[in-house]
Amino acid sequence: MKETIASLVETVRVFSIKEPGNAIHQHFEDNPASNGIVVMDNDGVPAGLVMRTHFYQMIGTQFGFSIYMNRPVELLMKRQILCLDIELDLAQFGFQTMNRQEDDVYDYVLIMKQGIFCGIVSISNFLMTMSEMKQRQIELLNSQQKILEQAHIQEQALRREIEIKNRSIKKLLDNADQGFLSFQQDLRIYEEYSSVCDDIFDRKIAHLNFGCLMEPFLDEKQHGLLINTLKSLFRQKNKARAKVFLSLLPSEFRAGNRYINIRYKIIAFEENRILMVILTDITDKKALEKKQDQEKNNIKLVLSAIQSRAEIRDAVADARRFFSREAAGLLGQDRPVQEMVKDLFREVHTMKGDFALRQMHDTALNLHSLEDRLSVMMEFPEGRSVNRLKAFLETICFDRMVKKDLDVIHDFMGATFLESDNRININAHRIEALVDAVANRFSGEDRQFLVHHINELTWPSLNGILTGYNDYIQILALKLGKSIGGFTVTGDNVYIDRSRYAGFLKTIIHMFRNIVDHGIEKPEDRSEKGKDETGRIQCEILKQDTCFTLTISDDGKGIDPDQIARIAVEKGIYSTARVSALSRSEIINTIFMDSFSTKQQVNMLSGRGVGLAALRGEIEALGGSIKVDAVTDYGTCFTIVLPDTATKNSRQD
Amino acid sequence: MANILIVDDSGMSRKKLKTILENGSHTVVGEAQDGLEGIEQFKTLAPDLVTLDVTMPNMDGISCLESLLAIDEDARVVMISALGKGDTMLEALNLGAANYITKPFEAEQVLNAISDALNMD
Repeated sequence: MKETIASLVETVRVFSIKEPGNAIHQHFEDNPASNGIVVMDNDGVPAGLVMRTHFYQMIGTQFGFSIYMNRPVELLMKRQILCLDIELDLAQFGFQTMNRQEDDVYDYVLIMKQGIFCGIVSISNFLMTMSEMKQRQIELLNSQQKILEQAHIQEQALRREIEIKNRSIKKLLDNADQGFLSFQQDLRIYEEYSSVCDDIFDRKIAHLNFGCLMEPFLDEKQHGLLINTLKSLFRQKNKARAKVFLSLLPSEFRAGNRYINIRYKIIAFEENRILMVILTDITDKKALEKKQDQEKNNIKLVLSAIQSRAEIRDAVADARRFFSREAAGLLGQDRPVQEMVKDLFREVHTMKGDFALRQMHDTALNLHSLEDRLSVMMEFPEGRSVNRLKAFLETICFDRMVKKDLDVIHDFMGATFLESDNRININAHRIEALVDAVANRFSGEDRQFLVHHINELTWPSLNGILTGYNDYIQILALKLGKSIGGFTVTGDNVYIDRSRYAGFLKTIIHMFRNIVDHGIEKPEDRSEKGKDETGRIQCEILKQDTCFTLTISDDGKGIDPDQIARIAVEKGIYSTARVSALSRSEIINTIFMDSFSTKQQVNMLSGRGVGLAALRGEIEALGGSIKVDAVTDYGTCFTIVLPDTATKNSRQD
Repeated sequence: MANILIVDDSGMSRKKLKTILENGSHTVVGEAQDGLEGIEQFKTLAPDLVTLDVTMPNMDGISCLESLLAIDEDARVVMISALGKGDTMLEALNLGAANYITKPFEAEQVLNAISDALNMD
């Protein structure tokens, strides 16, 4: 509030300019408290001022008394007077009065009210009032200071209390395994968040915008949905409705190698709404789930492999062929590169679907990433030449793509599972039951035919039995210091009634023994002859109308007819005359005769001269035949003809 | 509990929803095969709540939702989405849908969403 000088205005004795000096003297004598008077002119306007000290100074000078006492006051009055308006405030008043000449500083100030003189303000009164006011102000300030101080102490205490509370909350939060953070509508994250958050985001997150913070962890669409959902959520007045929006926010994201689950909670805070975000590291849980899923997938894959072994085998073979040969063929044609890429893409896409269908998900995934790379090429065909595409194709290794899935199948089912034939296992009792059922329902030729064919299902394949001799041959070869490659059986598949062919199956080992022992040479002998050090055995079955022919040949030294002839004579099998009449073939087939052995000394393996004879005996007992052919240093070939039990049975039984 | 109108073009979905709602002791007062039919039935049946499929022929769920709210701004509508959670559901909620359910749905999910929608305001 503005304080004016009005309250300081005092009345003062006024003299006319014509009054003599002694009248002023009389006034000062009568009024010792009066320190000055105002002199008015004839119009009632202040013309001057006489201050007590100044008056007696003037009177006290030489001749002063005689000059001033009886003459008009206007001669000795101060004409320099300061007239101020009553509305002036104290500060302005102080400034103006103190700005006077040094001699005049303590003179009365004349006060005018609307242009008319109304009194004076004495400087001593003004100073007194000012100092009193200062005192009051100081007292007021002091009391205010006291109040402030007290408030400050209280505030400090409150602040400390809050700080302790905050700290304990933060400690609680920091010790939780979860990340807690919160923000309002502006999405700026509050300073109070748990330290786990720094860990998850790998940075200090205070004051960051939550939307920006999440951006690197979401795809564009998810991030857009996050921002828009948050906007709606904070705008929505109804809390229950706002809560529904929470489910649209992302519930999981990946930060580096960690999977983080996010939950949200709306907290009402006075007028405002705060969203609390709770982050939980679920990497371990996820890894466990993934492992379980992986195991589940493996089981599915193995089941699929059991159910569709042939399809998987074919799909793998087709894909392998495609990448190793056919794909290159696609590039050989004279067309735009982009079309070639498109064709490749289509093939890979179909293949991917095929493998996914067979539960070979890892293969499908690898094909998928190949597909991705091809689709990038399709989009940006610039700089793609056939040569670069060719080079790209050469980097593709299908075996690597399919390896993981095949490993799973092989681990569960054995390494040759996919390579072996289509097989199903049927309990022998079920077949017996089927035979009984058929026998009861049918009669005559039908019954014989059906029973025979059902029984035939239980017969082993001759091919399989012969292949089984590989192990025996390897062990034998090792003992004799020879190197022999494994053989497969080519030609037709023949199933034989094991009980009927038991004798043959037991004695055929003699033929293999003979091949290893007598047929195939030692490696050093073979290389001397310019042959591969490793000997080869070939085995083929050819089916005819009612019989099958089994030929087993080797690339060994063959059979020397002269040596056979000599031994035959020595052993008394033939006379010398008879031998010379025999053909070459007749001579070498002597090896099937009883008591023949080309070896000089009987050894443990072969050479007792009974083995091949025994084999011939069994074959002939079945109504078959065996003969041998040989070309020196080129090899030996055994040809066995046997009746096909399947056809034989169906006719005879 | 509540009288509910089902709006869905798939007969299978309607049947499944109806079973779930009735097992949750709600009453299905009507079934509509598209948005237009849904609006007609909404006017005559005045249900407590509508379940509304998003993708339907003739009139889609979002347009239907707007019409229903134009008729009655307090209409309780629960969207059924085969599109998952996403921009369409955000749009529906912003327009005033009370809640939503994603297909394929389970009984618990449906009944929770409906009871939340009924107890909303």
